[in-house]
Amino acid sequence: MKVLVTGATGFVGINLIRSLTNTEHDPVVFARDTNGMNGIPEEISAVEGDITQQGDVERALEKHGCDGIVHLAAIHGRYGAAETQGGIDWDLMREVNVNGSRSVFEAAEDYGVETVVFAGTLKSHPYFEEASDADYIKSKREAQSLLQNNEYEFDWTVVNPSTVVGPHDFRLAHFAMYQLICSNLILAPPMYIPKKINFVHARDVADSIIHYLENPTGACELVTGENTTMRRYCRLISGAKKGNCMIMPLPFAGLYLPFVLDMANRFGLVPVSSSQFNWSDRSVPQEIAECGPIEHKSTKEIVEDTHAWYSDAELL
Amino acid sequence: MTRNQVGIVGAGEIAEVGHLPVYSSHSSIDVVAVADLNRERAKTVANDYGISHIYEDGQSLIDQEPLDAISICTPPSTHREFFISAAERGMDIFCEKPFALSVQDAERMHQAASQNDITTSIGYSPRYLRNYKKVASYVNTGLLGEPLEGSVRCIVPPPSTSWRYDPDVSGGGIITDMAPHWFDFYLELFETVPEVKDVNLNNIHTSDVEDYGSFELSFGDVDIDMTFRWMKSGMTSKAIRENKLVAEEGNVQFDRDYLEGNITGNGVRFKRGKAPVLSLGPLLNVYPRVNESSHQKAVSEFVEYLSKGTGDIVGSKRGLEVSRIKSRIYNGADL
Repeated sequence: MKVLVTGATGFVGINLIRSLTNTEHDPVVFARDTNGMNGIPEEISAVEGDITQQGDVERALEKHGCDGIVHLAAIHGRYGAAETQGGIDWDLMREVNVNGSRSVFEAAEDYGVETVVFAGTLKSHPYFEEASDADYIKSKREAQSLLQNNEYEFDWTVVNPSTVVGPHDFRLAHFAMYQLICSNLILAPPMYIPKKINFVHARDVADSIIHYLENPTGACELVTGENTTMRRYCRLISGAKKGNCMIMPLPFAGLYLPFVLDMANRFGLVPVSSSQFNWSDRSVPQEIAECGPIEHKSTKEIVEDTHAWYSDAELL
Repeated sequence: MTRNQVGIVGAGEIAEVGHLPVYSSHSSIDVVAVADLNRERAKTVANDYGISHIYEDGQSLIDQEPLDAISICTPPSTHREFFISAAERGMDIFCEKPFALSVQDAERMHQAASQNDITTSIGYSPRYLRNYKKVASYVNTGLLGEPLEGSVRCIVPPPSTSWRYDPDVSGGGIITDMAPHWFDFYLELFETVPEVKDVNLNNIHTSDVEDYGSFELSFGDVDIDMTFRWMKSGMTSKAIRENKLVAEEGNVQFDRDYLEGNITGNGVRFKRGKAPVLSLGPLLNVYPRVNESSHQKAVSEFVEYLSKGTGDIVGSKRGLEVSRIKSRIYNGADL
């Protein structure tokens, strides 16, 4: 299948393109700027365009004769990308994440694409009926509903992954914790709180997307890893590096740690502030942990592969 | 395993510090001959490293020894002759920098290396330093984004060897002595021949060669400002060899000891390529003790290449490219 991938230069996109090259499918990158695309092998075809312009998407489909689309492009306002600096408002998020998705789906319909896989987010899955009304989640839900409510001719699946971690993290979204632990031989500064996480390997998300390209379900599908504690995650990072440093238990750290960190940062004692770490509980209810169409990698494998990538990139 | 028979021409400091310790530690290498105009020095080195054949003249060594490879550690005015005759005998060559006195010499040397299909390397060393390798990796992987501009500031004590002040022997002052290291690094990084602009050379404390040079190298859209200076003789201040590189996704500041920077909002800091063993941000960073000799690493990569066919070596083509930049700098300045 010839697959147009929007958001191909993002974290999941790079991993997807690399996984697709090991299959019978043939990816085509769709990006606003195709110069200097990090992590994308040079031989991959690429076409420039904007997802909010339906004509751009149609031209790309036509030029390369695509019969599948993986629609990953979105803005989430987390990583300080150029268009999100200074904060993003709901109008912009809606324009890209909802109207952009609409133009991708309409282009797919007009051109006669067979299959579409769309990346939602964990909390936009119908399982989370009482989900928070964060703008990003809201925009993903609205985009998903376009697939659910319109009777498109093409087959589709929405993939709803938990927190994606793994190699090719060019935005260094998960780097801070690895750097902190790898820069301390004996004792890691306690930047973790007694909460749980659920991380899924970027390659597992990529392989799940490929699975649903081949076996569309017309539904939202969860892709999650194992639930584990923040402290165990830190211990795994420590285990992945040379020399195992101590990760102390920190009771009730959630109550005081962000405050202490920000104070220390204000006085120039540490180079990081609490906003660089995610302090929320990122686990999923146990009944939907380890979901997905393929055998998922353990948190240990996720940590080892991520650590190896940061190391190979000479960052650690 | 076949052992490579190696000869050393010029038994001075660079041979003793950079070449002989590396060769003697590799089981695939036998250093069988050494030549130096100063026979006593050649004898001492031969005794220290168990080298059986001693010559006073490099040309005789090349003519008479059936060698696999040779290190040329003599002043630049002798390089062309030794290099070409060694190449014609099929010897692989590690040639110290400055590679050649002139572009014409460099062209002929490169031609001899190509025609005889030999392996060459040149003693440009920053590319082998861990901090420099990290920066190269940040640029090559795209982590830093598109490079925008940079600078090099190299302020070092003047050399103690007298031939470096004689342009007929050395080929020039600090631009010949130090700048080629950075030309090589940035040529490797940007893979394009730079334009040379705004050249300013001066001899402040020297008479026949320049001891100060500043210019800009434009690698496409990326301008690197470079300043080189020999300190006044007798000054004891610490040498400076600092680099700055600004790119779209971050910036780095580095020399052989420290690398600090910011990549997509994340601070990075290393000492000689190693992360701290204790880090409390700007307040406290304790680093492991690391020794690093870029020169030995350069020779070591050459040895790897000789024995295994892979290694980070500097081809004679780079020597020619560096000579051309150097020549443009000298031609663009009113000394």
